[in-house]
Amino acid sequence: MSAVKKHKTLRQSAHYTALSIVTIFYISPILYMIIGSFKPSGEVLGGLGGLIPRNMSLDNYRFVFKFFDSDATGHFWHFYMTSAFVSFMIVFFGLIVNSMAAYSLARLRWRGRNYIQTIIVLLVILPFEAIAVPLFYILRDYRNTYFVQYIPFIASAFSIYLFYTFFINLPLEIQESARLDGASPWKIFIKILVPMSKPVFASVTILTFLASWSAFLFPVMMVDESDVVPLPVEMAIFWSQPPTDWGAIFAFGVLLVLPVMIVFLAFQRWFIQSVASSAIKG
Amino acid sequence: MANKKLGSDNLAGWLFVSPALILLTLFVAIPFGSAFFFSLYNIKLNSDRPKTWMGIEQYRRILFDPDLSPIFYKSLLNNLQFALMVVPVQTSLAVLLAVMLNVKLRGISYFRVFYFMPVVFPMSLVAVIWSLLYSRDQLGIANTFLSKLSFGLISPVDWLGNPKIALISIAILSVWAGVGFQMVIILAGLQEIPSELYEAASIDKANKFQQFRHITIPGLRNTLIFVVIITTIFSLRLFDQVYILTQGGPLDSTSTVMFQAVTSAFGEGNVGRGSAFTVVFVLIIIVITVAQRFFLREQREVK
Amino acid sequence: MKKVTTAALAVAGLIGSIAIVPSAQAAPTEITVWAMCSEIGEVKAVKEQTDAFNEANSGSINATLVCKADMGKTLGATPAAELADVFEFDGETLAFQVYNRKLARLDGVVSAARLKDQLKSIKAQNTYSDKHVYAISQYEAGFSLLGNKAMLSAAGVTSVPKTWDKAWTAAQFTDVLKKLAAKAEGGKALDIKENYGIGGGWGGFAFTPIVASAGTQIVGANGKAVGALNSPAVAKAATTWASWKQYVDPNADDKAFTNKRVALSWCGHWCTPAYKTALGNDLIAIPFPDFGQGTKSGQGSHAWAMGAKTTGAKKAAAAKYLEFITTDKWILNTTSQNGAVPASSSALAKSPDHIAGGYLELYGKQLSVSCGGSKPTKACVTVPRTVSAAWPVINTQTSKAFAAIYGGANAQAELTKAAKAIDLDAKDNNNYK
Repeated sequence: MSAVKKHKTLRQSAHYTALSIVTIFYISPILYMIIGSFKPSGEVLGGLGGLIPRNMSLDNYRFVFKFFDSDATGHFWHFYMTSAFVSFMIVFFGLIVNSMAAYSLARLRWRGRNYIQTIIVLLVILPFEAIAVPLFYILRDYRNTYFVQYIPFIASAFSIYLFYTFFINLPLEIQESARLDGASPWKIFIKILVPMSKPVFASVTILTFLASWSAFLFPVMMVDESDVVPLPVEMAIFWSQPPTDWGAIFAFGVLLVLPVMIVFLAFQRWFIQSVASSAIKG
Repeated sequence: MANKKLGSDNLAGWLFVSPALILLTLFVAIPFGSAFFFSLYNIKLNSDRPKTWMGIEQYRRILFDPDLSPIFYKSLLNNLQFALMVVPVQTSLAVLLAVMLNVKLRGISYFRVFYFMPVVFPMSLVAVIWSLLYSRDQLGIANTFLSKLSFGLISPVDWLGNPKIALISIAILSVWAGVGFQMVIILAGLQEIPSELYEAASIDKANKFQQFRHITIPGLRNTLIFVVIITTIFSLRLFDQVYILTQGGPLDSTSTVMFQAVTSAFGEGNVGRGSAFTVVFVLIIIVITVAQRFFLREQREVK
Repeated sequence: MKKVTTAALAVAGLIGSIAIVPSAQAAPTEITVWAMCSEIGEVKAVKEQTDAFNEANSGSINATLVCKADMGKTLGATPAAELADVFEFDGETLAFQVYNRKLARLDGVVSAARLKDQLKSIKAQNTYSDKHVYAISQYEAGFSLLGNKAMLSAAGVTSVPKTWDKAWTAAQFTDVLKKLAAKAEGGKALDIKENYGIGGGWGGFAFTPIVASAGTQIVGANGKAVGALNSPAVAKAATTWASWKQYVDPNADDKAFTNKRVALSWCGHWCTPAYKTALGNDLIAIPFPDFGQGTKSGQGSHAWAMGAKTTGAKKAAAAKYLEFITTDKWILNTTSQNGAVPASSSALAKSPDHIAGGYLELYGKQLSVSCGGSKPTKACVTVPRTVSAAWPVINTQTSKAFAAIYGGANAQAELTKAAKAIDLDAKDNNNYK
């Protein structure tokens, strides 16, 4: 092969190699968890030896399922259901409520719209932490329920903002002509705007799902009963119960991320695209 | 923008926005206002005894009391130090990784997946894994790596127990968990830069570094501004990792304002004090965000 | 016509109510039971006893068991009306829970004989300042050093104290640690359960006996922590304790003692089942080192209470549950799985590990000479955690102080900081009157 081509191939291989080494370093904590989940607990810790597959078995997984086997301790599949249910409610109702609000702010004319727009922008800056404590105190009588985990989070100024920026950038003509034809705002919203907005709906779905699946701050204060506790909180609970059984903890961790991992790997294009595009637009 | 001939949509406008508005009022505005109210009383979470009036005593304690205010200022300092560590490091690392991934090689997009993986892990799981990595003896992997890399020169570090290092350790794991998120955004920004610019530059015999400095960085300006702003806001909200790994210690070196707020209210049952922390926190966030937007806005106008 | 209808209705009503009454009697009383489930062995035990209780009372009572991850926080955040009928909790917070009106009185409700049979230290723990009993216990804490006999003799440590009056002094203990570390592969000698997180509450139980061993209570007779907790003797003791960090294994995998990396472990009864399995006859109990006023240890453990707003049939059912689990059989079922000291004299006499000749004999002996609520002397050993509604705050502050001192901070400064915070909290809450 020619000298130029050889040079190029060498450069490419060097690039791949460098990248691969950096990547392996980078994901070593994840590898540590996966490999450790198959090892007996006494051997998990042990410097680099923890990364070497040896004495692998499914014992830790069996233990996790055996431990969470009663109503008292909670069933493992129940933690999944809780996280999935709560996330679903937040995403589903959030899409409806937030897109409607954004449509109203972006495309309808009404008195007071400018004030509400300003309020929404201010709320985007306000992090959840600002209201976590008072919200906890106000809702303390409703601890250990499903609805306290999703209802406060359905409306989101950030989602409204994402929808708003997208709607504003849509061409006006189709909507205007529909209005002139006498179509109601609702019809325009459903029949014209929503079909044109698939990308932003996908983005908001994915971002909201990620946030609600990992939620920790609020659930840790509000939920401690095993039939309503979401996965991230249960992970922290399980980890802090002596004796610390690292094999079991890692198995729990693997089981915790497995569904999200699978969904992520299947839809990674969408995931990454939504994160990126929401940033570009914003 | 709107055509007056189409008529006013008062009813529809309010109807569409009301579900969100009602929810936001109930679950954001009211708690936000209540924080002020609660902070003026001594409300104990645990009992049904009536609350007692404290006025601005909670604030005096947080800001001026010689025994009680140091923890607030230490927490605030930690928040700022943390942001100053995480924002530049995470952003630079993200740019580096994005540049390395922005080549037209076969299968390069698969690498993207690995760097984004930690982003989909709940932070509580990340913290749990790293708690083991950070074990202060040789058995902890972080120490093993360190000694191998330094050929045994550096002795095992007490990552989470050494007050001088603990915050750095938390910063490292936070960067690890978040870099994928930024990298993906920057990668998209990189791909928006027209390749003709690079081609023209290489014809002019500009080397890779010069191209990076004069084409890549300016082209990324808006993306970088966005990334810096949101990373700063996220880093000011630091809570999950601290709650799980260090509980604010050692010697309050990892305590953050949010951590103090939650532990005062939920841990010690002192809702008044926790609310006061919350109020102060909001004011700080507003100041920092406004300042950031002001200073970076100038460049933003150049689109 | 109307008269006939009315009569018919009345008869129908009568027949209906007779039909209904038997089925009302058939529905069992439902009670909820919250357990702490903090140890794997305890989870098993509490499940077994609840299942057995339901079987023994099948048809009349049905108890539903729920595990709570953090009972302290749960009790704190739950109003009294929504508490379970029966729940397990940290006995040392009794004063705090009663102050917040969460617990129901047990004297007059639960069998008097059962209450009388509880150990003296338990009775002290479960009785509030109004002289009423608010909890009943299955077990009392056993707490001392646990040692590996083989490793100790291999390192040349010859005089190992078996009784509390022969405890090592702090200086002698430092020597012991040096000898052990010299022989051990990793250079460590002691495990203090660092992985529990000293600042997260572990310090308040595990290391506050050091305060008593230095000669004072946490809160002095005048009701103030300043002048007691931060006295120079305590600061000196805490500094000595912190100096042992160089010999301590960080125990990230919680296996330092069972994998024989260290010869000594500063852990309580809940460690003994796993330790016994790993070490067999090499496992021995050793009193804590003496910092001046004799060896001191902790006492007080989980207790069971009834929700303050439980009434009627549920109250009777709850009382039955409490009596059921404090029979010798069920006390021993729990203590055989978690190593704790049975809380009733009759059960204690039947526990082979805890009576004379048993490997945990030291536990019972220490408890029999409890210091009670008075100033510690050389002749008493176990110290109850401060019996007051202020305990949670005291716990947080002392834990933080010990964690800081362990990390290298100045002991005097940290103890003073903690003492001031404790006094300020007492003032804010009117001394919890």
